[in-house]
Amino acid sequence: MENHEWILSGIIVIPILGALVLLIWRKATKKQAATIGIISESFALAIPLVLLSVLRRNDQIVFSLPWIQNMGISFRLSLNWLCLIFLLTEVLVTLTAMIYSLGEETGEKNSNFYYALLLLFSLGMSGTTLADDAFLFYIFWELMLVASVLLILIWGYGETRFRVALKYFIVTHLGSLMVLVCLITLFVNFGTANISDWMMQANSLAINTQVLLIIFFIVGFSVKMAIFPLHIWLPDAHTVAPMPVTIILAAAMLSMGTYGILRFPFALFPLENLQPFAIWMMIAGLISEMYGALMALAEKDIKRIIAFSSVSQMGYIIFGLGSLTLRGMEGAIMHVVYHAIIKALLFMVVGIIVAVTSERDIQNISGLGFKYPILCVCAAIGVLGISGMPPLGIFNSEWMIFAGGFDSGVSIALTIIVLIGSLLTVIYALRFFGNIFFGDRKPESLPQKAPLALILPTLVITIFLIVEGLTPGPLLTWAMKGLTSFIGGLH
Amino acid sequence: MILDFSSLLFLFILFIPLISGIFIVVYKRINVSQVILVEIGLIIASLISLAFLGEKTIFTALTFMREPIIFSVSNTSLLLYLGNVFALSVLIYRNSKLNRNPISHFQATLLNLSLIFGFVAFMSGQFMIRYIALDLIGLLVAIIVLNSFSDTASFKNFAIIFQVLRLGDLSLLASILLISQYSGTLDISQMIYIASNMRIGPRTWVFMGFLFAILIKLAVWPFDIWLRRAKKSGSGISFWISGFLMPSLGYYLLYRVIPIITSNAAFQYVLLLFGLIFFFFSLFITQLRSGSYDRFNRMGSVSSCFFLLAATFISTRYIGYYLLGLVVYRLLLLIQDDLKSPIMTKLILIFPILINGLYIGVNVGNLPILFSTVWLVLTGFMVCWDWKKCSTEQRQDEPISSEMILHVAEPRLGQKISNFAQWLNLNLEINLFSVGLVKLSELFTKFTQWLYQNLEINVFTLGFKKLSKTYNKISAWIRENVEEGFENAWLWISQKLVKISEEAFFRLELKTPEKSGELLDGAINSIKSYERNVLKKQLRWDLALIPLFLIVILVLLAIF
Repeated sequence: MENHEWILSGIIVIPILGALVLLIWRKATKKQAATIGIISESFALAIPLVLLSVLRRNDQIVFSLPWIQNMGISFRLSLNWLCLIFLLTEVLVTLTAMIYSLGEETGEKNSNFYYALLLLFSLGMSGTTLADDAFLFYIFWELMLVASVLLILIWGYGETRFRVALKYFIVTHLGSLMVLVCLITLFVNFGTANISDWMMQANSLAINTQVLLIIFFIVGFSVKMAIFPLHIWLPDAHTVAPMPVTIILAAAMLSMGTYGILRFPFALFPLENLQPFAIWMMIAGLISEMYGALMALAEKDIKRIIAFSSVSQMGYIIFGLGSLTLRGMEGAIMHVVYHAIIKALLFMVVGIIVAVTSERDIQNISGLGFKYPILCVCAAIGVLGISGMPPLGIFNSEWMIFAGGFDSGVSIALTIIVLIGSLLTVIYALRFFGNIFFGDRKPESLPQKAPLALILPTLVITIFLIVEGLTPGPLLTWAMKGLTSFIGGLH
Repeated sequence: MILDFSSLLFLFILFIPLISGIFIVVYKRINVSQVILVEIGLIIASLISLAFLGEKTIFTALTFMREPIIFSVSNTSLLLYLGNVFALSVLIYRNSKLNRNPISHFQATLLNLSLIFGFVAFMSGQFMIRYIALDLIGLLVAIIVLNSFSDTASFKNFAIIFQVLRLGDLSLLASILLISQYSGTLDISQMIYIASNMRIGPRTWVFMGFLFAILIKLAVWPFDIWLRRAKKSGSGISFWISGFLMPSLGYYLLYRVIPIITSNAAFQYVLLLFGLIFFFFSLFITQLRSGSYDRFNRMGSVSSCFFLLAATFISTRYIGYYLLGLVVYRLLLLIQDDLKSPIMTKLILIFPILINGLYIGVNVGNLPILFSTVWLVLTGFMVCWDWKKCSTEQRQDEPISSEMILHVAEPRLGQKISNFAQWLNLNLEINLFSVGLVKLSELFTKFTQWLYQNLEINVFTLGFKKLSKTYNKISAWIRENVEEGFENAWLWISQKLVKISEEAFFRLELKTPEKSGELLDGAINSIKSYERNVLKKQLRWDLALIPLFLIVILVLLAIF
């Protein structure tokens, strides 16, 4: 085994070690726990970047160890261009959330457990992205769920957190079970859990089985994406979860559904077999886009406004995927990244607003612009970003998704409705911004300055958003390489 | 990029506003107007030099989403940009002379950004870059109306301007993306050529998208909702961006898509119809607005409609000069108050005839005669209307004589038209486009609230709660009736079994040995007593002969 293959395993091993240290070190203060968490996560971020040069040469790095040999199960990780995009997004978001946690009240008690669970949550996502074995994939997939449920249960807001955590667990687990059914079916049919092997054999399955698997995979992963009407877990979970967890849930975990769709139904089966589902995915995207935006417009709780905006944004992604075209899918992948950055930024802004006003009702907050100009600028950039204003990133992804819609040849009218429907995003985003930052100051007594520990990561992510928007080239190249290597017949 | 003199000049024009912007931000005590005037002077000189160097395509090493970024310097775009920059210089000079609205640092920054994006929008040879520049100018138009954080009304204006302009941009984007599907490139010239030869279905969508975007950018009535709000801020910079730069970009866009319009007769007729409708409606509706700024709005909107109308069959020869004429006309309208001389007043009045007449004159062989005649007649009509309106406004300032009262009291054609205009104003402008829009937005808000309450709250949130309650009820019932039923059954059975076993135990294990003991004892006793009784009796040997006798009988039976 070569050095870079061992290095790859570090993405999984180092966070596990970090989590173990934290679980053992019970007396760790919040700063100490955060330091361990941040260092572990930084390694997880640095490793893929270090491996970038190897990836340029080989297009794929595989780490494989035998595990349950008589069942054809191995501990097999694989890093390719598609994985890289999702991996960097989720690790970066978790790292930012960990830093943001330092300025927050969350995790003051049982800090070691809090950061250990954050590490495990991130590990679940990284593992899901890297796993090239279905058994391993499902373990990490469920680890992600368990860790997030525990974080909501222990550090969530209010008494409703038990009910919400249960709802979140049940609904998302239903989706997971659908995925599990598919994984077991494929495992039984091919006698191996190696996903790369499945990619070569899946086409040999009976067409009815393929259709059933496609439906189960798409619906199962759509639950994680929170596509309407499978979104019912999202607004409550996002509202009740502590702010850093909300950031990870909204910005990173939602992307796992997209990854799942790309990794399984899209990579396993030929595009012509997916064609009958294109129109339904596009319609689901349209409804989700419209519905999420309308709910964000009607909602009064600022945290829920941003939560509903996720439902709307996921609509664009499923629409892009449903187009089954290169531009549409590239746009969808780029949208995952840009949405993650913008959503992290907007939730950070909301966190600061809640911290300084102790209010979440948009009607009780106004006139913050004069008092907190830096926060206002960050929020303005976030709001313009989510509205699809060039040159901020979402513009790049949105127009590619729309172009994919036109390229698909499914329906020009449908794509035009989605395109014009994006105006709803502008409306709710401006309502959010205008109500909070303009008008007479409410509440009257506000702290002089927003907490620096919260402002700094917000500012950094704002700058990152601008830079990402201005330089979409690398992301686009990675997305294209990833897609063409996974999905054949794209045009 | 090959750095020849044209490219250098191009870069110089692009970077002057940037340098000036930094300069203004760094040296805060500087006279902003003077710096901007110098900057504009340099831009004008560079633009003229660039024009003398001829039309040129500038290739850059930059790409946007895998598409090369190119700039196309044409005479038309240069002239339009030059006209706009010249108008800006006049506005700033006028404002500084009259000490009106000094330019703030914020406005100067927005102005410099507008100059950069405006230049990019005019010169870009790649559609997406042009779109981005247009979108950003729309944002700048909206931002400039913002006054302070406490002014919520200004934010509302910002929101409306931004939303309306964005709607136009989205329809433009739809057209660009539709064409790109067929063209495989974002090069404007190629895209327009390919769009003109596309299938009629997609081409109709493309045409509609462009038309909608142009109507909004030109701020043609009733799409001037944004322009009216943009001008409310009253600053010269805002006036320039919204009243000059944006409509000029609309003119240029319309000019570029003329091949698509002329590719199908139906498109031409649609545009002609729209042009005519908006032309007359603009004249009627704006009849009730008065004041010099309103004359600017009124005639600006009408001349925009006029260009829309003219674009139907327009010849592209000398079009740059014609568009420059439209920009100059706007400028003259804006500074009419400062030009007090009667000659200038008359010049402004007849200016549309001059530019249209000249344009028709130089294109006399290229345009259909009927079209040219109608065009001139409409121009004349527009000028007469303007003259009538101006003289009415002038009369309103003079003392009213009895003759005039009598004169006005007669039901003349003018009065009838005025009544019609008032009716239109009330029913279209106020009831439909002002109150109607408010009602529509209220209806939309109500619908959103209804959806939120009935679907999100009642179904997805409370519904889920209800579902879990129902689930609890069902599970309680099952527990009570099924699970506990089983349990009860098992209990009953087990109780019965216990009873049976107890009974059996009692009967068999406890009673039986006792009874069997008793029985045994009884049996033993009876045997004993029997034995005693038997032993007491005398043995009768004769009875022993009976079996012997029976054996003998059997033997005999066997033998015989």
